Amino acid sequence: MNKLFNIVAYKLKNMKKGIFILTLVMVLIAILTKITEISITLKSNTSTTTTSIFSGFELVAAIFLFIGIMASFKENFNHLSVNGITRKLFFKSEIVFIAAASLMLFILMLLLYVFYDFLEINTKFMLYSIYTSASPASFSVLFISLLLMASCVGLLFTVLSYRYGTPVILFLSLSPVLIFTIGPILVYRFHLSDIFIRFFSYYFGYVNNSARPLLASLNFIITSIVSCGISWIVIRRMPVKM
Amino acid sequence: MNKDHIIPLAENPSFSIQIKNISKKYGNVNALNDVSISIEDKKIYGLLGRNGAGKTTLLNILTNKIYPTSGEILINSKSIWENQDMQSQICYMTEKNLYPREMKVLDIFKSAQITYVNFDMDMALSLASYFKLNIKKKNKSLSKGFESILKIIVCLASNAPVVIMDEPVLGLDAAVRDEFYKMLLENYVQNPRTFIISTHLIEEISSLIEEAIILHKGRILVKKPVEKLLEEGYSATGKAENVDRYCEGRNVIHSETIGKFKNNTVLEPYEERDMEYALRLDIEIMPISLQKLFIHMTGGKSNE
Repeated sequence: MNKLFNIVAYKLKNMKKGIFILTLVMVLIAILTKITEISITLKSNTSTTTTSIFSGFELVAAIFLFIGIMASFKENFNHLSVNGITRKLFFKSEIVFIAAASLMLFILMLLLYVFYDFLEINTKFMLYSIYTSASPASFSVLFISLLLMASCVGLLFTVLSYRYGTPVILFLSLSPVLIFTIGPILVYRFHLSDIFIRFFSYYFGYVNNSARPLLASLNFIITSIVSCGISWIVIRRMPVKM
Repeated sequence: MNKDHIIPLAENPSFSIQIKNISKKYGNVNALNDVSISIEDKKIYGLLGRNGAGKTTLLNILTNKIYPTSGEILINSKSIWENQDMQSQICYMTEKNLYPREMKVLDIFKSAQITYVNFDMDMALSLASYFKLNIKKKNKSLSKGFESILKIIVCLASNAPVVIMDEPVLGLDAAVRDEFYKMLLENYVQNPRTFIISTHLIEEISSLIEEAIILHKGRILVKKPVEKLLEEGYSATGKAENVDRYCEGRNVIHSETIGKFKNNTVLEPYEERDMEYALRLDIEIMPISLQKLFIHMTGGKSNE
């Protein structure tokens, strides 16, 4: 157990620099936004004030975790395996690390929200705009499950790339292009639009014209568990690339 | 090296390793073919073999870096696959530097403490200062030689009961290599444990290793104490016809003819009567080095 927490602490420590840069960028954006707002207001001769709207804390955190997990995997896996850490312990530590990092990012985004609010920048959580009826508790669950999903999918992508190399990397890089070009053609050709819409509506918690954040959270968590399950199958007998 | 830094492992249980019928295939290539050996506790082993013999593959399987196609490896009768307790007892110095490029030397030492509970930080720091390895430097800025020194320090300071080193002296100059051999021996005497050293510099390491394991084309050719191996191998030089007469019925592993003279390398126990017979035939019997013996046993230059 001690070893597990030491590994998680090591991984979180490695992430420290990235989190610091992210915070710095977000703070700078807030300050620059405020300065721009004030200068525009001062320059204009009218009595109206200029305001900006900042949204997308959730996406910033999700993308940060997705990329962070992908970028750190290879180095962590090689390093820890050369130090005699088994795949099983490495995978357990990766899960605990993902949970801890998601929680940290959630708290960081809340703090940044407070900071933006303090600077009187009109700030919105994107998830609140979609799930208007969400209580603070269900919003928190939704936000954290979104971050977990981003991390777990990032883990799956990086594990597949590490094990199967160039073909998978190529496929994963081209997949967004394929989805947005071939996807609509397939949907149109096979009259899948109804199924497609119904599936994604349910996935994102839209049932009977109401957005249900806890249903979406559950679907995000299921996606996370499935991604982790596949990752474990791939990692289990994965050779360390020398 | 400060001797106070060595943690005696007398209280540690012994570690015997059984490698049973290990085979590894890469496509159609048999990197290892039914390899079975046992590694006894607290000995220095030299794993020798020509390029592509399967040394690194065997070490990678032993340390769970890759999986074998068939066979199993046991430590104290327990399988090593995904066995964290067993893997924590083995410190492996890979040929390639797998430490994070951006990590500082000191942080690499600290990260080794996660696995190796007996890791001696004081010893690591004193070795780093002895070898003039700057602990504040990042891994990526180390030269090939200093990368080897870093990996050697981690292995020696780990105090792991089994230390495996794959080409430990890569990039080290002759003086540092000499220091390393002395240090390894000193460390072993103070704190006996199992060392498995894979190297191509056989001449340099021959005085250090107790037992030689020679791998050839994925199979174990020899596993014998070096002393015994050297006792059995010798060269017989003299007139070609006399050498031929002497070598009749003996295990000749190499033969070389220069004009009327011939030099045969024989591999079998040497007895008193052999000496008398050689004297009568005017043949000079000379001991042979481990490196020469290895070259002749593995087929000379052609590696056939």
